[in-house]
Amino acid sequence: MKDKKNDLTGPIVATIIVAFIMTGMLITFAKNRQPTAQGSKQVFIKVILSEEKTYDFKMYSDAEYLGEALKNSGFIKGEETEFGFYVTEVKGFAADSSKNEWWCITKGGEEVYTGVEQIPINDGDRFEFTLKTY
Amino acid sequence: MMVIDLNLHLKHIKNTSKKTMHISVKEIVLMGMLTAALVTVQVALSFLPNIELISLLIIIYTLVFKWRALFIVYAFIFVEGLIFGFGQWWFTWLYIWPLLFVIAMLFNKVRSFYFWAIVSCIFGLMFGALTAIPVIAISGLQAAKAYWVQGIIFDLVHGIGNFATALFLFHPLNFLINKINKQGGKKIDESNWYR
Repeated sequence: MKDKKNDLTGPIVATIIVAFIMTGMLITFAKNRQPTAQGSKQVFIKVILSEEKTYDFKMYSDAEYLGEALKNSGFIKGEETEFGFYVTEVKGFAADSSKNEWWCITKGGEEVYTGVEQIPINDGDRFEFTLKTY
Repeated sequence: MMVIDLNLHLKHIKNTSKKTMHISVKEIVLMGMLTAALVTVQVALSFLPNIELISLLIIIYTLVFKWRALFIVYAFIFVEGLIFGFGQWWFTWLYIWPLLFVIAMLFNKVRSFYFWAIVSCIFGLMFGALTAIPVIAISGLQAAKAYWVQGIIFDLVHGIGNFATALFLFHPLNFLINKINKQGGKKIDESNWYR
């Protein structure tokens, strides 16, 4: 008669059954989960700290304006002023006001005449954030 | 010891003769305190997604107190409704936790820690499916399936968490609850338990 205390048949069989159940659940999840959809507009962002340090990013968004798209994703941070949203940090790089640094926004290399929250975005647009001093 | 006869007139499962079940004042107080412990543990661990000790405690309560544990279960469900609101989730709890009680009652002679860890694990894995049952009636089978599928990862976490907590905590909690149940500090006989 098998010693019940040392008989491992039951625990092993039970573990195998549970492993099968878990595997089945994972397979069901993988086969049935809904695919996510990217934003419909592809936008290219170049962050220029200096001539030597530039970083390129690509993002997808359905937002109408650049500020909305970049604030929602945490790409930019700033302050609300009477003139609108003032960008103080881009992708973790903060402009040092004590050194008179500021972020200049351009679109396709050309000046934009509105704040970041009024810049409309279209599929394929290219923007540059350049760290400048005045 | 003062006894309050609740005139339940419930037939014991194995006893064919008619018998009135008595619940003493001490047992009522004890069940209240154990319900409070259950609620406290649930609220304390609520910040951890799907990691809970409720399953383990309900199993142990059932093994120790037998049918009396059902009072604890429903008192717990009611208090949870008072705390978190009587939403759709609450109506699912009305049958899910008592189901665990029924399972524990069916196998209450089993003295294997590992068995109860597996039971707790499977219960955690099936929790999402059990909560999806009302969705069948409300929105149909496809909606219930989608509801269940989107929560599978949480169910897996729930099952693994239940297994781990039962494996490590069954023995000490079982000893503690048994000790609480016994009077006069009688020595608890654990010689029949095995892994």
